[in-house]
Amino acid sequence: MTLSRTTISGGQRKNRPATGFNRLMLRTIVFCLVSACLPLAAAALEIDADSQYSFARQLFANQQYLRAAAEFQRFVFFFPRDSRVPEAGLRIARAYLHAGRYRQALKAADKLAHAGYGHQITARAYFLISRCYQLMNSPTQAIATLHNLTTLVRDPAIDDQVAYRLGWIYLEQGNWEKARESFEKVGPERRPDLGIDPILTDLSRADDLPRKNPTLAGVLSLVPGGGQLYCRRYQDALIAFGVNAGLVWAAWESFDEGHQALGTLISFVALGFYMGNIYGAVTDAHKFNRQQTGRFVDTMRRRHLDDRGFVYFRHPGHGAPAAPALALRITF
Amino acid sequence: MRALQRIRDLGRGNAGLVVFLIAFTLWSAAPALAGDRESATGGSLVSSLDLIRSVLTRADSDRCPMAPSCSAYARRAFRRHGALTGWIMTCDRLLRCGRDEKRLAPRIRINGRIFIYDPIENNDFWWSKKK
Repeated sequence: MTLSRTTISGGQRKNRPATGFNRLMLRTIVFCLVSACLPLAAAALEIDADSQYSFARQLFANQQYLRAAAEFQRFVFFFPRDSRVPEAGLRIARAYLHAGRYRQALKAADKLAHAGYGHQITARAYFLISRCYQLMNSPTQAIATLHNLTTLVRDPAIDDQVAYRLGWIYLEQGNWEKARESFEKVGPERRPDLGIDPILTDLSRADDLPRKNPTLAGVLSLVPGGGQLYCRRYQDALIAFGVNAGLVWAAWESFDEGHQALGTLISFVALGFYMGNIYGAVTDAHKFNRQQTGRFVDTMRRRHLDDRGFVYFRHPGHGAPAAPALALRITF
Repeated sequence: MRALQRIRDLGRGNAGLVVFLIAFTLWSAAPALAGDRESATGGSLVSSLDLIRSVLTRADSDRCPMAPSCSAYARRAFRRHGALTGWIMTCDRLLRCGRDEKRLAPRIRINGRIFIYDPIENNDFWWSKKK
């Protein structure tokens, strides 16, 4: 503002007619520019429901999940009466789930579940909530959510889906019996689609998995290294035996030579290593069982979930030695 | 035999110190045994581990092949489960360090070095609900 005033006032001092011409020119130019920009501005501001939705979907397809969630939220905000709003709500929750924002996904799905969009959307929202809990390492909550859904919605198709998902949750927990029970609850019409019979056939092999008894491992470790030997940890067994035997011998010799203080100190250390040896053997048995379960579950997933559009997620705890995580798939 | 002789000499010369150390360790374990784990965690055991980490590790370098290292593992074990269980878990870890875990545990890369991944959660999962 200050600049233009100075220019105009400067012009007034020099030549009045020229100033009038300049003003006219300036107004003409401004008018032309504004006229030219108006259609452009109008085009840029126009939001079309289809393009907004497809843009959000494209972001989702490109795995830009957080951006996709934001764009779906924009869609819901600007087009609240659009028929795709419930679907957009589901996609918001899914996007957060894929991005690893489980709490946000849970919140979005929970909101949708109680929005009254009909039982199909409600069921899908509940499935998402259940999956969120599962990924947050709360399988009990995941199971409870699915049970709640069966009481809320009376639909045989949804009951079958619930039974199928419960089966996978139990399977991932290593609870073969309950997994089998759940898979067997799936109705005959949907069994071929969900591949229940091959799953049950493979699941019957779970009982033959090699297992180690943690109690037995602990008892065997009363002789240091025994439990480790039982768990096929031969180096650990040798070291446990050697260290414990060495410490006991050192403590014995110390007391024998009249070095009570040293003997007490060594005994204290020896006791720690002896208890550590027992603790380690019990843990090794549990680790062995967990590893066997993890491998079996991974094999089951590879065989029965890959072709069905399931998505991988990973969380710590299980898996083959090379992968420090348990693979987990989700479906919607 | 020479090593044993040295240990004997140590016992003769520092009997008072040895008794003091045991008493001190048991004293520091007492709050944990009484259920007051937080007070134990701030106690001398963790401080001793800090001393080992800051002095000894600097002197003889970071040689532990596990992640977290044995001292860091011990620190966490004491903090998480108190002195007694922490002590047992630490002894268990020292027995396992760099042996069969090499073959069985997953690997993790930290600052370009590959370590054997053995966090405390992999060793207390069967009885502890703490996360």
